Amino acid sequence: MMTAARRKIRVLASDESGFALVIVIGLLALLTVVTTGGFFLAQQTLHNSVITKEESQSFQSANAAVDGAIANIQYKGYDSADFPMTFSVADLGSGTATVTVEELTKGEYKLTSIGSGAKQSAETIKVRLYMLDLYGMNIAYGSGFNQGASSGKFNGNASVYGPFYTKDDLRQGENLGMANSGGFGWGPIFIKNGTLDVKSGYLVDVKVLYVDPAMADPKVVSSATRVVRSVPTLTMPSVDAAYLDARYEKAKSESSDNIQGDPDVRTNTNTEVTTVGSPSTYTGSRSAGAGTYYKIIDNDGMVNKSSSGLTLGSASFGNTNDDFAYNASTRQLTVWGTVFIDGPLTTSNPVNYVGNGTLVVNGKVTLNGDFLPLDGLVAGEGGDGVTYANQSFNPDRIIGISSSSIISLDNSSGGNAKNPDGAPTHAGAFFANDKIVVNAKVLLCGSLISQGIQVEGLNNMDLRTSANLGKYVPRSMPGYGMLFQSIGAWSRR
Amino acid sequence: MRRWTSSVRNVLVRDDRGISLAELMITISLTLIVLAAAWAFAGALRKGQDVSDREAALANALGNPVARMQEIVLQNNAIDKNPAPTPWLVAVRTDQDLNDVLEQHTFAATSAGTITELGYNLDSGGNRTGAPFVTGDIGTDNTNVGDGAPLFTYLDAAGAKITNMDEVPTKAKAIRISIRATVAERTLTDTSTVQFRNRD
Repeated sequence: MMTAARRKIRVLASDESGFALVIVIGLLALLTVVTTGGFFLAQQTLHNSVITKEESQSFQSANAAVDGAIANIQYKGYDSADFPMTFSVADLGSGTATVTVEELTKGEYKLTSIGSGAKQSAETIKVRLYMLDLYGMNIAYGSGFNQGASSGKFNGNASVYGPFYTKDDLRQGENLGMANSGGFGWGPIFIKNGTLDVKSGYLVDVKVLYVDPAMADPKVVSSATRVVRSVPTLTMPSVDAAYLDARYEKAKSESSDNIQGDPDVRTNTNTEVTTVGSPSTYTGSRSAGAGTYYKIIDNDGMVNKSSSGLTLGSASFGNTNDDFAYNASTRQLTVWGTVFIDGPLTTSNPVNYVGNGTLVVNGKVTLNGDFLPLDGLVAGEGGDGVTYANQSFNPDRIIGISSSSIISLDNSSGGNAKNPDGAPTHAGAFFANDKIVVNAKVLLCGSLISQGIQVEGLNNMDLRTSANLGKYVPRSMPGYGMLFQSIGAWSRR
Repeated sequence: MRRWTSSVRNVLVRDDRGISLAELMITISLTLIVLAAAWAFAGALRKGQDVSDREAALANALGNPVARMQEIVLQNNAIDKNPAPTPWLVAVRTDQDLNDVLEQHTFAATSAGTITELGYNLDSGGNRTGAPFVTGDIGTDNTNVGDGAPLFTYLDAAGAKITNMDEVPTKAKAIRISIRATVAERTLTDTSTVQFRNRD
């Protein structure tokens, strides 16, 4: 009896304790479940936030890195040794990025930037970058390429080799396109505010054709031609008052400096100081109409087109040991450094030139004959990577002409060679503020740059760029040293 | 015997009245506190879950489609004429790999309340090739078509609205994306203006 009562008491006591404990344990379990659920929910929310942050970090890192790489190229020039270019958190502020580069064609690069956030997620940005020497191109940047005699069509057996930039539609006429009989070669061709309008079978043998995205698809394109729907806008230099004033002063100072041309460019010996002597011996005796300074053709000391200009015809002037001279019997023109003509420039006959210099003409330029470096051009690499004859300039034989109005090419000894190695009739760098008019069957190697290129009459002309003109172009030419740089396309993956 | 019985009774009475009651009260109190805490916590969780669900729904209806359209429209090379742009449809060309194989992405708001994307590769003539590499809904609960509210507004270089749809492919420099959706009986909108990077 006593034992049963004690057992009952113990059981009761035991039940009471267990009841409370079970409740507490149950509640703790419930609390644990609820807390754990909350924890995982918070974890999921945090995870989503981290992903969003990571994507943003990766994208911003990739974008900043590609901008940095482009800035580096623009500042230092392209050097393949700089790539792959890596950017650290210290550089970018949050993530990291690596930029690699691929040279697609001459002067065209594809930059790929892979950015990573703190958790190594990746975003990729790709950019197509152009970098061409300004004087490695033929450019009609304003009113476009116009063949007046053929209603705006690029007619006959004409040819264009090398980078070519034009505005408005580029059209071909009826007679163009047989192999080695003209057409477009090497490229690239940039058509701003227009498209390519040619007939089936015509020769457009360029690697890349850039067509304005807003315009119609180009009608005829070789399967070997990449069509890029993006055309950069050119920011061009100008033969304006500031340019003319600066070149006037430069020609003035060079008239008495005892240095033949630019010592950084010239490869031969400076003969000016040893053979001529004192600067006073230069004064006013080198050409008809010359003023105080022999490298300036002017009559009133002001930049106002007041002089009758200069005609290279039957009269010789100057000394070939100086910066500026012309021998009428040999028709050899010597130009080193900067010569300023405050009026028109006319050549009466073919001209062979020596020196590395610029004829800055405040007026119209009329070339009534061939205009070539003495002994012509030398072999060099064409735009397709093949070595051809008549491609490259000797650094001591490059003349550039810049005009505040028009340059007119009125006569030629031949031309229409059509092939990329034909002997040129004209060679050099030509920049005209208004337009360049082609009235002859010229084969020009070098660069024509103007608002418009107008081809009249005999329109079987040939244009060919030179691979080394941009490197050695005379320093007083407009936009000297300027690279045609542009981001042609931007993509994100 | 009497002493023992009395002693046991005293103990039992003391224990029943003291320990078990105290335990019970403490247990009940603790239970109430814990239950209250659990209830409050569960409520907070439920609210958090509701917020999370609503955000997910918003993401599906607004955030995700806007982000996707921004990504593609930002890098477009051209606005296609076929299919022609409308306030509820736009087809743009891209070259995401810069490999000169163009893609065409078509975004459209539908009367069924979705925003769809179709992606095709194009040949050099601008024609679609093969099966679409992207197809499906990128947005839900959309009401742009039902409300008659434009999803796309096309802007020219000056930022002015282009009203003539024929001029969109040649003049548009930016697109304003104005998306509308009804989520949990609330109509929500989001607007984003995307400037084209591949234009001068």
